[in-house]
Amino acid sequence: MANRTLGTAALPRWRQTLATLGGLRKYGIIVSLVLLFAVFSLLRPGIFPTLGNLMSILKQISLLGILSAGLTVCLVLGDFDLSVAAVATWSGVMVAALLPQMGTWAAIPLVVAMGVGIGLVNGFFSAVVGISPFIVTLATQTMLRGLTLWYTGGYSLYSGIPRAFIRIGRGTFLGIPYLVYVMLFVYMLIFIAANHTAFGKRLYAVGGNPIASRYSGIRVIRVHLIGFVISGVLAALTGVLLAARLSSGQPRAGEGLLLGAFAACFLGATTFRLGRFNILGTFVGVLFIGTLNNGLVILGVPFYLQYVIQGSILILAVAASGLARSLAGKKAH
Amino acid sequence: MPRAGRTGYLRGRRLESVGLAVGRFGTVLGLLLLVVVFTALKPSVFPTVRNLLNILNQISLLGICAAGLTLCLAVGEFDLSIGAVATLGAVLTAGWMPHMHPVLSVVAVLGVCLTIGLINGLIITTLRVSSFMTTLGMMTVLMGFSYWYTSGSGSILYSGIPKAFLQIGRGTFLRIPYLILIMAGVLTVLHVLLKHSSTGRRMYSVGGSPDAARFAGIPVRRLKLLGFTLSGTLAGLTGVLLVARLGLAEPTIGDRFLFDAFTVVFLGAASIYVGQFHILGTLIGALIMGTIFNGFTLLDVPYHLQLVVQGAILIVAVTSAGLWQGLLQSVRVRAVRQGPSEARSSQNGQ
Repeated sequence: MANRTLGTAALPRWRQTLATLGGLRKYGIIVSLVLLFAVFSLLRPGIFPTLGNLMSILKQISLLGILSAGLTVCLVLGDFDLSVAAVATWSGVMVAALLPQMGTWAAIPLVVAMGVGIGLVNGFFSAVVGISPFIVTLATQTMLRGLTLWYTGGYSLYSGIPRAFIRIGRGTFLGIPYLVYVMLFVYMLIFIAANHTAFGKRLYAVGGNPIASRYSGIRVIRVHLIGFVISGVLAALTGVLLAARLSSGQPRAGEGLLLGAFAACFLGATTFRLGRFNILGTFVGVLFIGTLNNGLVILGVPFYLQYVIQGSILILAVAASGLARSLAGKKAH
Repeated sequence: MPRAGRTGYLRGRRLESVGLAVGRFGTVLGLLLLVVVFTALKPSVFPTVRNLLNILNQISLLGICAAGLTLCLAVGEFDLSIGAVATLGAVLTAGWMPHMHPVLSVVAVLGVCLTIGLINGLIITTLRVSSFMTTLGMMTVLMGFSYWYTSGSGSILYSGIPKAFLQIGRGTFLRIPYLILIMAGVLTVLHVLLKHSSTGRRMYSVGGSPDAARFAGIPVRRLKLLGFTLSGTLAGLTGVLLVARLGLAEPTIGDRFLFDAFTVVFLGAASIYVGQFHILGTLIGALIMGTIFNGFTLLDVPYHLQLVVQGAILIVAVTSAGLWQGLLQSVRVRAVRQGPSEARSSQNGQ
C-alpha cells in the first residue's frame, strides 16, 4: 500500500483518485456480486431473495465449486489442467458402474484413487518429463473422453445404484444440502492448506518463480505433482457427487463444467489478490457464476442469451482487472 | 536452430545427430508407421490415390483452422475462440446465403470473423490481459449468439443455399477436390509468411520474448493483432467451407475444431523445428489425425478408440521430441564443459 501511494503521489489529483479506484477494483467482483443480487432481487422480489433460492444457488454451485477449487491449486502453480471436466465425467461413470458390484464405501474410494492416478500421470508428464501441462492435459482429456464413451457406449448407467448413494446428492442436514457441506469443507481445507501451512507457502513460491524456488531448496517437481493430484482428486469427487445428484453416470455429464471452472478461477484472480489465483477469489467467482445463472433462469432469459451475458461478463471482468492494474500503476505490483 | 558443434567430439556429435533425427522427425516417422500399418492391414483400400485424396479432403478444414491457430500461438497467445468462430461462420453463411449474393455473403462472414479476431486482439493487447480468459469469454458469447441465430429455425439452417456454392465443397479440379486446393493455398501463403518473411521472423521473436522484441523495436502489438486477426479469419473460412461441404449449419458444427486444432498444432510443434509452431508441422499434425481417422474408419474401429489413440499419440510425440531435445542439451552441455564450443545457442524449449 505504501508503495502505491509513493508511486502516485506525484500525479495530478484526478489520476490519484483513479488510482484509488483502481485499488478498489480488487473488490470489483464482490461489488458486482452485490449489485447482481440487488438487481435480481428488485426484478423478482418474491422469488430471488428467499432462503430457499439461496440454498438452491449454493446447491447448484457446489459441484462447480469443488472442481474449481482443485483447478485453482493447479493454476496457482502455473499449470493448466484441461482434464478436470473429463476426469469428473469419467469418475461419475465409473462410480455408477462400480456401485452395484462393490457398494458405496468401496466404490467411492476406488474412484477417488483413480483421480489420484490421473493426477499423477498428468503431473509425471508435465513436471518430470517436462511437457507443457496444457498439452498433457489436452491429451489426457481426449483419452478420458474416449474411454468414457467406450465404457458406456454413449448410454447412461443408472441400474443398481443404491438409495444411500443417491441420498448424498439429494439429502439435507439442518435444511442445508449435503453437497454444500462438502463444498464448504473442501474450500476450508484448501484455504488452510494454501494460506496457513508450509505447503501453501511453497505453492505460491513455485507458482511465482519456479527457478528461485528450486534454488531455495523446494522440491518443485513434488509440488507440481501434489497440485495435479489435488486437482485430480477433487475432479473425481465432483464426478462422484455428480453421479449422486443425477442418480446415474452420464457420459457427457461433466463437459459443461470445464469452461465454468476456468471462468471461476480467472474471475477469482481478479479478486483479493489482483492477477493471482487464490482460493477465496475462486469461491467468489463460483458464487458470481452461480448467482448469475440462477438469476437469469428465474428471469426467464433464454439459454443462448445466458451464454452471451456470461461471456461478456467474463471479458468485462478480465478487462476491468487489466484496467485496474494499469491505473493502479505498474510499480504497485 | 541447434547445430552440431565443430569441435570434434565425435561420440557427442553422432549421438546429437541421432537425437536430432529422431526428435525432429519422430512425428514424421510415426506418420509413416501409421501408413505402413494401415497399408498392411487394408492393402487394397488404404494405399490408393483415391483414398489419399480422401484423407487430404477430410483434413482440409482442420488444416485451415489449425494454420490460423499456429500463427496465434507463434506470437505466444492462445485463441480458444476458434471453434466458436467456425460455428458462427457456418451459421452466418447458411443464414445469409439465401438473402445475399453468395460472394457478398462469404465476404461479409469473413469480415465478421476478422473483426472478432481483431476485437480479441485489441482487448488482449491494450489491456494486457490473459488471452486464455478473453478468448474463453469470446467463445461463450459467440456460442450463445450462434444458438440465438439458429433458434428461430429449429437450430438447423439448410434451405436456400445455392448449388454453385455447395460445388466448392464437392467439386474437383483435375480430380483434386477444391477444398484440398484451398487448404494448399492457405498453408503455402502462411508458410511463406511465417518462415520466409521478416514479418514471420518478428512474430516468432514476439512469441519468444515480447519484452526483448519490444526493446528491439518490433511492433509487438501490431503483430499480436495480426495473429489474432488471421486466426479469426481462417476459423471463419473453416465455417464457410463447412457449409459448402455439408450443405447445412447447426450451432455445434464447429465445436470439435477447437481441441482438434490444438492437438494438431502441438503435434506440429513437436516435429522438424521442435518447440516452434510452424505451418509445415501443423500440416504433419493434420495428416496424422487424418490418417488415424481414415485408417480406423476403414478398419471399423469405433470413434472413441480414435480419441484414445489421438491423445496417446500427442503425449508420445511431444515426450519423444522433448526427451531427445533434453538428451541433445545434455550432450551439448558436456561438450561445453569439456572444451570450447559455440553450442550455447540451445534453447530451453519443448
